[in-house]
Amino acid sequence: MSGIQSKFVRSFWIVLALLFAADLVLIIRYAPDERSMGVIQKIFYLHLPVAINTFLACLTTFVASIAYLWQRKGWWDDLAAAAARVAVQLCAVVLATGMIWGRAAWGVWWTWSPRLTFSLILFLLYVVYLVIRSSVEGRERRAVIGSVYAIIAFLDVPLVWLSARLLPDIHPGSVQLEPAMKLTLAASFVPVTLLAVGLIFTRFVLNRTDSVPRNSAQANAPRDVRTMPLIAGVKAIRYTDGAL
Amino acid sequence: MNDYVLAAYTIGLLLLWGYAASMWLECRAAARRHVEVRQTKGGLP
Repeated sequence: MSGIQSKFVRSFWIVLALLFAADLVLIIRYAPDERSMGVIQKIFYLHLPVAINTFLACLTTFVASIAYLWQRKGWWDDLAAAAARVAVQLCAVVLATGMIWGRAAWGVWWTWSPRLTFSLILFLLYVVYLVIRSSVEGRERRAVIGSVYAIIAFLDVPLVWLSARLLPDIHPGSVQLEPAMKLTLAASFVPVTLLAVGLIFTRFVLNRTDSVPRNSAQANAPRDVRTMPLIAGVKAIRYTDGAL
Repeated sequence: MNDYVLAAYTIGLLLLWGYAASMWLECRAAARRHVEVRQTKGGLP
C-alpha cells in the first residue's frame, strides 16, 4: 500500500512538471499578443492564477483557524500554518511578477496604488503570522494566538480583491480577453492550482511530523502506529487517535 | 520572447519550484531522522 502511495506522490510531481511545461508551450505558441500591451501581457497567465491561489491559501488559513478555535484539534492549526507559508510564497511570486509587469507597462517598478499597497500589506501580514508562530512558546498558546491573528489578517484579502474595482487604481480591475486568451488562462490555472495544493499538503504533513515530539512519540507510540509515505519516500508517523 | 516576460516567468517559476525543492529536501531529512530513531529504539511495531 505504501509503495503505491509513494509512487502516486512521485507521479503527481512529475505530471505537474509536465503540465507546467505544456502550459508554457501554450502561452508562447498559442496565446495571441494583446493589442495594446503586446507580448508583455503574457505575464498575466502566471500572475493571475498565482494571485487567485494566494487568496485560496489565505482562505484555507482563515477557515482552518476558525476550525481550530472551535474544535481545538492540533491538525487544524498545522493546516493553517501550512497554508500561510504557501500563501507567503505565492504572494511573493505575485508581487515579483507584478513589479516586472508594472515596469514594462507603466514604466515604474512600484507605485502606491490601492491594489498594490493592499497586496504588499497582505504579504507582510502573513510574514508576521509566521514570525508570531515561531516566537510564541507552547503549542496550544501558539495555536490560539496564531488563529486569532490569522482571522484578523484575512480581512485584507477582500480589500485586495475589491480595491481595484471600487477605488481609482492604475491596476486593472477586470480585463476583456479573446477566446484563445481565456482558454490559455483556464489552462494556466490547472498546474498552478495543483502546485499550490501539493505544496500545502506536503507542508501540512511536515508540520504534523514536526509537531509530534520525536523521542517521546516514538517511545510511547501505540501498537497500531502506521507510516505514511511522502515525497522522496519520507515516512511520517500517523497516530490513530484522530490527530492526523 | 520579451525580456520582461522571460524575467517574470524565470523568477516566478524559480520561486515556486525552489520552494517545492526545499520541501523535498526537508522531507528527505525527516525520513532520515525517522529511520535513525527507528534504529536506536529497536524499531517500531
